Amino acid sequence: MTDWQPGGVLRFRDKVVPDHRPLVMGIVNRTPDSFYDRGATFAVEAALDRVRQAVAEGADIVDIGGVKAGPGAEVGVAEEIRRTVGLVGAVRAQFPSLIISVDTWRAEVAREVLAAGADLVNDAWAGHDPDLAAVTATFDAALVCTHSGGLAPRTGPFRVEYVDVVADVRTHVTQLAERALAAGVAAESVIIDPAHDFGKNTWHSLTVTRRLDELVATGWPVLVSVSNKDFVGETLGLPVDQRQVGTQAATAVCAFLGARIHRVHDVAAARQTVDLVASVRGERPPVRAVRGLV
Amino acid sequence: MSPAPPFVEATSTWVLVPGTPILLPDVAGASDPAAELRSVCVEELRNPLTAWTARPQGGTVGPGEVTVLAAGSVPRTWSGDAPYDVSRLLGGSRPAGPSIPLALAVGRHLVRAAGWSGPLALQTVAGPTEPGPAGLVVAVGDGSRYRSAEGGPGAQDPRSVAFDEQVRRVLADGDVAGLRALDVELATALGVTGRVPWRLLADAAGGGPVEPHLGFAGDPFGPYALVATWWWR
Repeated sequence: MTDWQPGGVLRFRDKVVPDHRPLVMGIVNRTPDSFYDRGATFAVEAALDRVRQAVAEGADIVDIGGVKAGPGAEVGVAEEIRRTVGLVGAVRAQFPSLIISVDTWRAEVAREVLAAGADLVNDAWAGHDPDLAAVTATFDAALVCTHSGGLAPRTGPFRVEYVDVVADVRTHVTQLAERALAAGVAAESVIIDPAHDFGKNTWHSLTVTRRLDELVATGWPVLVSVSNKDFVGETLGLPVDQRQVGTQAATAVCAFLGARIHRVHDVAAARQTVDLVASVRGERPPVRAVRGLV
Repeated sequence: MSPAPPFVEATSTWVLVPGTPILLPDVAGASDPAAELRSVCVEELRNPLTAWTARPQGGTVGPGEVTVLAAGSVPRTWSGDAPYDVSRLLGGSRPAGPSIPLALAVGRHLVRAAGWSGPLALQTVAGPTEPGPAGLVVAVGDGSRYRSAEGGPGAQDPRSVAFDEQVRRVLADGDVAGLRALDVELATALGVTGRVPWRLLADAAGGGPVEPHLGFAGDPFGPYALVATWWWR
């Protein structure tokens, strides 16, 4: 790795986050069929409203996605571009200093959304497209390097086994990070993500959560995406619309163990969770500490 | 209901069971959703295993040995007590130890749960050209894994239902030629883990006839699960 300092500066093109402050990334799905919101923000005005809401609730980043992560109807490159580029442009125009992330594994889509003003490519599929890192580097943008358990995009785990799931995650995401550096992505713009539930069963995702400190110890900033996921639901025996509290619990554990970016549906709740945990870690002063001090 | 005797007269008995990992104890968590499927498998195995215990010793098969068989990338055998480290599925704080293939671990667990405490042979098979084992064989394999639109490992494949129904019918009818004739390419595309074991069964059964018993056919957890027995003299 370079002489860049871990846990320090994170840069998303011209937007720099100078300190240890954990970031909340609000999910904005421009899809008709994503698992949680099921098309609620498919229309562009609804998607823009969602962005405004996320920003008002304290999101540092919005993550715009045009394709459902799970198996389902095929979405081609042209359609994915249609769903994302216009929205990225509209968000950039209305929020000049907001960090815009686009959830795509395709280099062709990344090229268009970066040209439209995006700052971060959130590749959920472990560098499946070998050109993605280079395209990201061309725009001096940031990149998420994600563990997928070897799966092809939009497939799920089938009886997946690991000798050591955390070691497997660590090996693969650091390889992807090194590959990103070699392709020209700046060191302060590389992020790693263990990708809860991607190529992992519930037990694997719980293990990754419990041992997240081992991924933080690599020195790369860690992004986690636990919001309303099946591992939360299976752990508690709850359907997808009843996982809010479990999501905050998982978020708190990840935050305490050092996660840097939290990708969530409920920005307001995550902001409180992440801020409280940052104060528990001694990295954030309380807003107002007066009781017992007067 | 366990298939009817008299298995003692059988030259060969093959019991087909699913490879669903939640058939292993504790893997599915506190609620044990596979309890009923496990019970069906154990019931299917009980009479054949009991009859196998009662067989006269000797002959061409190892003394009282039961073979658990599943598809694998290479043909290989393991000793019957070779370990399976379940932390490969459950995670843990240290790396998992050496392990047999998961499908064999599932098959072995069902055989032991059905009361067999005798010797076991474990083997993976890679293709239909290998000679299958003789005697009592427990073959682990499933039908299509792309039956459903939600929650599966891949996009729904509309060919799944018809293919699985064809498998169900040939197993229920003891249709040896039908089992041998299953479309290999389609079975591969549909992620059918039973493809090679069932082909070996068809080859072992030769020209037939076989006595069939279908204990279960369905998709309680997604992939098509079959529990069945074929035996012949």
